[in-house]
Amino acid sequence: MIFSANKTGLLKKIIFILMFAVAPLLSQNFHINGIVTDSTNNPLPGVNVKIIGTKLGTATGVDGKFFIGNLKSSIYSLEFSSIGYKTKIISNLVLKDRPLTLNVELQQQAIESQQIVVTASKYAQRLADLPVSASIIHANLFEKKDINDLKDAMRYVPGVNMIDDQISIRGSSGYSRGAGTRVLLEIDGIPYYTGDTGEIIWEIIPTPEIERVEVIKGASSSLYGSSAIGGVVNVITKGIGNKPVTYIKTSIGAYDKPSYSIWNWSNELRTFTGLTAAHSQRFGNLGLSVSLTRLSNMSYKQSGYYTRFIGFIKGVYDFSSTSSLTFLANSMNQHDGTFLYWKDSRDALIPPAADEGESVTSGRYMFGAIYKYVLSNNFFLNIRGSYYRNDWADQTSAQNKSLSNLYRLEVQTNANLFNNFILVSGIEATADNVTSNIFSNQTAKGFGIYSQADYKFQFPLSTTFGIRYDYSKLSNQIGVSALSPKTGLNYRLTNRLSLRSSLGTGFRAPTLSEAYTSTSTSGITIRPNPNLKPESNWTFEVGANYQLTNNINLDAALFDNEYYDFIEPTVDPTDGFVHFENVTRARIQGFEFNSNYSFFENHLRLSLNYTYLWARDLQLHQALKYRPRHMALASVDYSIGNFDFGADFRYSSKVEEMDFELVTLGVVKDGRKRVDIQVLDLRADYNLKHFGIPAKIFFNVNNVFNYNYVELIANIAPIRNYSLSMEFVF
Amino acid sequence: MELPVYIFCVKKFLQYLIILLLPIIFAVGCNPGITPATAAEENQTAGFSGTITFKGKWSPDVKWTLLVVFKDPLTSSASFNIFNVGYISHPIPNNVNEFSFSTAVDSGIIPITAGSYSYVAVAQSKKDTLSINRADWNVVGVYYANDDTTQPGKLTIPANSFVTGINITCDFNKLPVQPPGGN
Repeated sequence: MIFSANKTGLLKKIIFILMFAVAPLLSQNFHINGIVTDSTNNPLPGVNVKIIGTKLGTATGVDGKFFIGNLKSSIYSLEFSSIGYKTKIISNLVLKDRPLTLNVELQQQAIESQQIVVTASKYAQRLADLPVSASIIHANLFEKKDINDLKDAMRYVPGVNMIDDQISIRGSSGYSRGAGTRVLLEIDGIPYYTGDTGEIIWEIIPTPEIERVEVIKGASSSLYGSSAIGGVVNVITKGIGNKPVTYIKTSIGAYDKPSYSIWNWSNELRTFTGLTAAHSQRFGNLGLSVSLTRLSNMSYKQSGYYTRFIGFIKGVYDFSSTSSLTFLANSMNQHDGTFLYWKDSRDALIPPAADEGESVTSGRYMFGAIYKYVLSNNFFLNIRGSYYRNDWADQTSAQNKSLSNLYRLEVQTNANLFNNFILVSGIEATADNVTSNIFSNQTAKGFGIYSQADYKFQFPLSTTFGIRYDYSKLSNQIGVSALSPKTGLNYRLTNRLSLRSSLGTGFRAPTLSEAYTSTSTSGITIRPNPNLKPESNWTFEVGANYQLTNNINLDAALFDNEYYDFIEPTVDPTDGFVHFENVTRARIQGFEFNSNYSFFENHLRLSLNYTYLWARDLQLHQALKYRPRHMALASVDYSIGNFDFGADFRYSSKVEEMDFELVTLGVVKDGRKRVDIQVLDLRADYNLKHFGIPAKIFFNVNNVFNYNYVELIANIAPIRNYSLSMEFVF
Repeated sequence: MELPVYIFCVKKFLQYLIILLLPIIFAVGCNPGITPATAAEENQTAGFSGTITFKGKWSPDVKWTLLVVFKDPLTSSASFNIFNVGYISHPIPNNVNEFSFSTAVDSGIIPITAGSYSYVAVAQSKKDTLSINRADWNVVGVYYANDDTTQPGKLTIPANSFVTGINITCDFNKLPVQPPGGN
């Protein structure tokens, strides 16, 4: 076609006008936003929202809301995934002319086996694919049960029993009054034990910041070294979403009167309160989350009180899509009374006269940094460094005090060498110094190097082989070293049934407190024993996971743990002094059965768990201290409308052995009194979003029957108490 | 599975569960758990009393004088250990001629409980600190039952009973046969 000059000019004008008219449309950016909730309409934080086929995505904030901006007009498919929920894909969303707002509901996964854990092998794996047993605590447990202290949540993990503040996974530990731990606690992969006592300070963990807690059962020294001889507890903190979120939680509660009038030592209502304020926000590539908590508890026991401040800052800076730096700062300042044991069973809630008025003041600070770098699709680098400062002083006649500084650095690489073959390797170094009148001035250092190879065959069979070398040295003592190998298998027999088996070894070096404690308190004199050797174990497990239906999951495991050179507090019969000694050759065998059920579109959820333990001292031919033979947990949750109702029941059989030497020595009166543990808790919550208020109210009654029991010798566990809490998310 | 069958199965499951759980909840509700020792138990605490008579001159170096009760006979120095001890009194004052004791008044450093005891003695130490090292102690008086001084007398305290008349004579000029392991 031939245009005349005039016609060509007109055409140019039309094109020019069209370009101006269409250009805004062509360059216009849209967004997709919305809210993700669970089946009971509660907002879900931390849900990964990904645009399929692109690198675009985000995570929901604490209020469940998400926002993905700068999108061109196109057709998109979105994937919503979160641990504990079925992944949901919404396809063919047409983004044209205007932004899209979505309301997405995720169904909770009754099938525990489909959930993801990162602790067992230091990379993400499905629970059902692990060669070892593991459990997960979800954030909503802390919320609905108004739990402000992680140790209180651990009581609801199958196979775990808490002896006051010391954790025992499948009978791994007795009670050593804070000296050492056989379970390693981590926060986002950073070990969290004190430099002097080597113990876990559960209270420092800010529970509102927890996304989930992974519990690995059995010796994990082949990856984690000393302290993981009995298992690992890894706290995964919440991610930081794109939208600013403010969270406020307030709670108030009170203890009921004791069961017996002679136990009623106070005319005051014994109350406890809590207040948390948190905010998270993104500033470009930097995400920041800050929270501050104040907790105060008058306690049902005289001298059991505390006032606690917990601070937490998490910063994430994304250098690029392949590298990021996470910064953690966590602090706890506390003043608490000291209640070691009762005066006697008629004065069960007051300490002996000599201990009255004793207290401890502590300041604990942790700074951690995690650098992640994805070098390629097949190679991943992770560097974790931390500094943990512990400063405490007690107000007793002994005037004990201690200041410890623990430095730690770990470099970890994950390499996908070829199809289905993953190699996790790392090196770790620790340095520790202590200034104290109870442990003297001491230093400690440690070094570890590990490697674990996971290979997935076509069958599908997954195999694991790992080994770790550890060296540790306390002050002027000769250094000790250990090799901890481990092997495991996981075989997916059918789509619904997987079998697992593992054989591993564990090792634990003595802590400074076990080797060097020298003090006298509450009638007990402790003397040092610097000649302690490391303790070791090997552990065997065979288990099966069966998904009976889409709503019922069953899991069973048989286990055998053999311990050598067990480090235990012992009374020297020649002088009555307590010291730590390698005394015991022990065997812990048992089995665990866990089952989860979900009915009526997940409105009714049920969990039943049972653990049998046979824990024997093979030298003394008697039960190991503080190990119950039977443990059972049952919990039921029912959701209707904006209401949730729940009940939890815990049972442990009466322990055969405790620290009865204290009774023999006349330090503890009526110390042999102990019973089964049978505790029923009830709870209810209501979501106020119905009224346009972004808040929830929770009501809890713990120990409904006011059942009196001890976890620790001569220490009555919490009596019936009520709490009312409210949280706002906006 | 068809929906009505499913609902039926679930209902049956829950029914059985409730039947199973109700007795447990009932049992828990009726069980108080740990109970305090009754007043009767407190008031009828097992114990013993008697008089210690001292003859002769007290050594000025003595730092500790204690009434000690052992569960098993002292057959070797190893028997002289804390787990074999049934009772240790609070210190008896120096230079007294007579000392009346009662576990109801002085529950002791290690309190007594009901049971059978093989050796009841008064022992002295010249060490500054209290230890249970056999070498640190001299036995200055032993309880003999029925005036039989050929062997240490046994002390038997039945449950909730109080035994009286456990009298001991300590003659500094004529010490009793020392248990093994002394200096």
